[in-house]
Amino acid sequence: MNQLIWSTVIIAFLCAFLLTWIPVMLIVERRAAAWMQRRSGPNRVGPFGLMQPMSDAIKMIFKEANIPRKANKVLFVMAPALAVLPPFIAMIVIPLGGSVNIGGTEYAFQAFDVRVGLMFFLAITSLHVYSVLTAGWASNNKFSLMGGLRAASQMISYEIAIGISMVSLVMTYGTLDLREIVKLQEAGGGLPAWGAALQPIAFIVLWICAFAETNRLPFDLPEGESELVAGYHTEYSGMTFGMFMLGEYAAMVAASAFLATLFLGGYNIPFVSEEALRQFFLNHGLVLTAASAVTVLLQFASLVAKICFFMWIFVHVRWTLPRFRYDQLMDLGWKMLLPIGVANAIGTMIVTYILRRGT
Amino acid sequence: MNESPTILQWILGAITLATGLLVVLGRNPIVNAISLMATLFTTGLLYFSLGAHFVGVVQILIYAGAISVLIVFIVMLLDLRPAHVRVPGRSPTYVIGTICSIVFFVAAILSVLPILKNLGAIPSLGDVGESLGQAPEEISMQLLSKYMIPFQATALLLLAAVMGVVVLGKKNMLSERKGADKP
Repeated sequence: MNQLIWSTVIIAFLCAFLLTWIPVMLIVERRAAAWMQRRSGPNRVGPFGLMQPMSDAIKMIFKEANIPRKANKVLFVMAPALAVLPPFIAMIVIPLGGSVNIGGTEYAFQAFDVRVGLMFFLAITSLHVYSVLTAGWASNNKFSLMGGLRAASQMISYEIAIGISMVSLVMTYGTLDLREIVKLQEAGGGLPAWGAALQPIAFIVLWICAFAETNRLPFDLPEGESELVAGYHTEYSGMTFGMFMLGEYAAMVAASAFLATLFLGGYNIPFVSEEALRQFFLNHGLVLTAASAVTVLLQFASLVAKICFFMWIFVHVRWTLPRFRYDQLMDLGWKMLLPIGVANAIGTMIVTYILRRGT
Repeated sequence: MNESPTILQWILGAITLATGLLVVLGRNPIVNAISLMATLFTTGLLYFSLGAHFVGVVQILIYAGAISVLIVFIVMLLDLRPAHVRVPGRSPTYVIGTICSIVFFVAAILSVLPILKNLGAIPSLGDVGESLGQAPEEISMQLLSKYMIPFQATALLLLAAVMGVVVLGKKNMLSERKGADKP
């Protein structure tokens, strides 16, 4: 088995993994909203309403996907596809677990182990804005265009804060390799070495920016329904609209996985190192391949638990905070997060210099 | 060691060329802007296929992800439609533009010609990538030692550009305020 087959298997696994989140999040979001607003929520389809996403999906697929007569047809159809692609591509650099030993070779549980993984993720997710922009423009609807323009300026503004907070993080770890970042957090002995403990300010700035980049509620001005009908996807119906929804949830999962990898130790299980875990299973009579596979699965479960935490906060914030006004949004991005990020970067620079001067 | 381009690189090159032509020949400004983004993106992917990961990522992050977003954004903000854009006839800008592009094209061909003549002698694509782009540390070391002065000069240029934008923005705000005061 060579690296190419292994990567292909993991990419297929990633697609299934990301798509599995969509129905789960659909039902979780609606039930959580109901719970927070003291309603019942959708509880009729299947036990506890668990089949509700299924019925939603069937409804969406069989509805007509209308294309307005004056829309630019090519771009109108291209936009939903552009919404789905970036999170799926960006996920390939996230390390999902340690390595599996197959026939004496260690295969990392990661589709694309690249030395500039952190920048790769940022580069690919920054392409997400094109789907919103083209959807807004191609619909030939003034509300859509307004939504598209809002989304573009919002995402560009918050990307700068992301870049700056990344600088301080990279200075702390001294690498752009996501797998190495996770290994460093593991080597530091779990919780105290997590990014969230080393760089709390960058963590919070990046977390806020993740909301803005995925257009989630305090930042969902691009689709603010009280002003813009439904923003950039006003003209979309049926599964073309469904694709935007799918892209949004996939982007949330990708952002959560990214945050977990950088700040919450990624796949590592607190206070348990990969070698110790593998040795434990080896001592209990498993062969090396099985022991490493079980270890990796446990680590993957740890990553999924961290993603779940971030997803739950995403949902919780959506039903807690009201939407920002547009100038408040821009003030937060440019006058709060950016200066905080710069100050943090300069502070980190000084501390890193002092700490590394001796070595 | 020499390598011929793979099928993937041929496909990427073809897409780059096709979208690049669309940038120049397309009538709809939005389509032009989006195909510019596609050109820059596939160029980044080409760097990736050569093994120059860092350069590829920077290409996508800066050119495809930031600069062409601004171009698309501005074209949309102005709401340029094909009907609004007139192809200039024989205005001076048209002539100067034609001459400039011909000169640039010839210069580009001339600079590539020695490479095209002996394609066989090009070092392995993988080797180029490894020396160029796999190590961000290497690039930063080079930037902060050998290319320190150009690096700092770029920073200064960017600072000047930022200040220029601020001055221009302030000027507009001031004149608007004055205009509002007038009876």
